[in-house]
Amino acid sequence: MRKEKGIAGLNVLLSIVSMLFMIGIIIMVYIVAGNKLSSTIGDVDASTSINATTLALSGVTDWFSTFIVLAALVVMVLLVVIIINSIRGSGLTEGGSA
Amino acid sequence: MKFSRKEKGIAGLNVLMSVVSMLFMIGIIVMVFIVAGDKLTTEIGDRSSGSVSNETIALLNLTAVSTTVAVLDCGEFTDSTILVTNETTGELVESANYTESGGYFTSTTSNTDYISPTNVNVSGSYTYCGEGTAALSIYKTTQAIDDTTDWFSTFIVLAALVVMVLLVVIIINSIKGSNLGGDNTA
Repeated sequence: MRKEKGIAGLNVLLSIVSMLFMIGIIIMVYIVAGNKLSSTIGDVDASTSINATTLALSGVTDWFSTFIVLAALVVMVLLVVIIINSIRGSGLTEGGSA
Repeated sequence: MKFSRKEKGIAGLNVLMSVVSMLFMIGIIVMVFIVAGDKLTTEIGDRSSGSVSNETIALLNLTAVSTTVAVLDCGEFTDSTILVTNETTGELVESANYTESGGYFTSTTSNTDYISPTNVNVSGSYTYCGEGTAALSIYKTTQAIDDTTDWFSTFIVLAALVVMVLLVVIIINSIKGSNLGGDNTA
């Protein structure tokens, strides 16, 4: 069980948002470097290879929206758990106890 | 009578306060990331370019109308190259009569008499974030992070529900404990 109280997984959301921004910055740097390499290198095969690499890396950002949605779902689930546990702990439901 | 929570008089407000504080911090951080991301998108310098020639749009009163540039990732016209003319007469539409942002044109006048009819031809050069470019990667990152704030109102509602449930629990337990109910004892 988690020991933090009253946070409801928002630390997870904050961590994910920060990590996604850092990953985005890193991908941006990789693509800049890859494009520079591709234009500078003389070998056609090597240039094709680095192009394919940068194109694949650029596809990572397509998943970011999904990650944000899933992190928000984590927060919502934990908030709902708090609500349900509060109701159960009130003794108002059968099987619960105050 | 035993209560499951040991804090008295709080009724889950510590949960609401924590949620509100965390959401504010996350909002500030998201804002900083978006500012940084937008600056990077503009400054990174590997944007792709193109041009539009005589694309016909219908300028409406104070309504943003999209062009083909608007559907491109971070597409925007180069201001100095924009040329808007009346579709029928070819008369130049002065720049003071419209604004352009992200490929959207908005009529700034409350009536369109000056540019009547409202159909105009738009020409100009534009830049956008092409596939596989660094500008597109940081643009998509910024857009994804921006979506975080759409969930905040849902979080606030759920946190408020926690407070309401716990307050109702306190009320009901107080009533039960006051011997006002059927078979309860004070």
